[in-house]
Amino acid sequence: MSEAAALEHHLRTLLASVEVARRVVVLEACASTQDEAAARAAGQPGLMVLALRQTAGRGRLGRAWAHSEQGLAATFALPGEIASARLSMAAGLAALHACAASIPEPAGLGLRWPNDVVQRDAIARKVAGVLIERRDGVALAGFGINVRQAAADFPTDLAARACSLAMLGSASGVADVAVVLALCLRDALAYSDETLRRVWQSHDVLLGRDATFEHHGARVSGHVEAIDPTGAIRMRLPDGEKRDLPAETTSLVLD
Amino acid sequence: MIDIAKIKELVTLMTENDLSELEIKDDKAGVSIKRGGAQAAPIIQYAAAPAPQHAPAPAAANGVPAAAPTPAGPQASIDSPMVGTCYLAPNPDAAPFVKVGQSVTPDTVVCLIEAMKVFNEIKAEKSGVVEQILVKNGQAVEFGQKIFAVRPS
Repeated sequence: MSEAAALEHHLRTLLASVEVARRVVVLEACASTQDEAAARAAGQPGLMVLALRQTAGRGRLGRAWAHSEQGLAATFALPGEIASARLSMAAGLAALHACAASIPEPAGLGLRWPNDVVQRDAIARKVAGVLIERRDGVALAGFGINVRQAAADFPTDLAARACSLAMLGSASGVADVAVVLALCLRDALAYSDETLRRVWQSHDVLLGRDATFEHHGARVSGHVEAIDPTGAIRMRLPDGEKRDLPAETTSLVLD
Repeated sequence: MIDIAKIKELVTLMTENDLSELEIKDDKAGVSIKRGGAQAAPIIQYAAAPAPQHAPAPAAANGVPAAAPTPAGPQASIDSPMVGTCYLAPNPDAAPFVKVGQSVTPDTVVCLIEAMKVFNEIKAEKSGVVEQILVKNGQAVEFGQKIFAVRPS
């Protein structure tokens, strides 16, 4: 049995009762799990696609997501009608919880607006990223999680911006993290709106820090006083003025 | 009808002030002039009422939506189904999903709208020819805001 077939069997067995992974497909390699999941879901949610190797993984606005065989690349096809804010927060929390569950110091991780999983004491370092696309009636929640990489495995230009679960003391493999991820995604999607917002806020790493955001093509830098993912990002500008940026249309600018 | 001397004057004015786009309209006529860059010749389009002359609409240059002549027939629009940030191309280096003058069918993907890092693929939902792009790439849009003006076919 190939490695992919063995993992597919393993995941199907463990996730048999988990709606978000009612169907599981594990591929040896593919260009992008997002495109594979879109094609295979054919408008029907309840599909998890995982690739052992992803050759053209992408992030926000077509940015490349470097993938190695030590990382997890998976996409869940979810019901298309889930609101964007709910999808974004739930996916972020699922990734965070799946990562946190596999390391000795789970509190060392947090969420960087809106759903990057980063180290709390080094928020430039990303452990996991989420890309969500809504097309053809389903919402495709794609996850890239750095699982087994050593520091030297990351490309030089990513070294200062990436971290893996192994580097944080995890002994988990891709299969373990995949199982926990599916369970955490199911749980996060079942939270009430209020719980989702509250739990998200408890993991926000930007609160009380200086950050730069982009809204409507313009950049705003200042001190983050509060983030309500269902409302606004409240900033205190250098001149003391308060500015609320609408959550839905504001993205974080990374240095 | 606006005379040539006036247009020359407008082009000079634009060049001197380094303007890339200028549109002037009154109830009788209109003119829209675009400059593609310092070296490029300006693109001039006329729109006169009641019988407008349709020049082929230019593609968007420098990420700025191209202005189109005032339409003659009935016009429809493709509206945003949500609040979000509108992207006219799949990524900053890619060609736009649709251009002015292009025909679309209900299944044509015309833009992406991002809300909290969720990228929503927006389809035309109707058949027609794109006459005007009403938003800029990266612009925040409201629910129901018109994104494209379309001449139904």
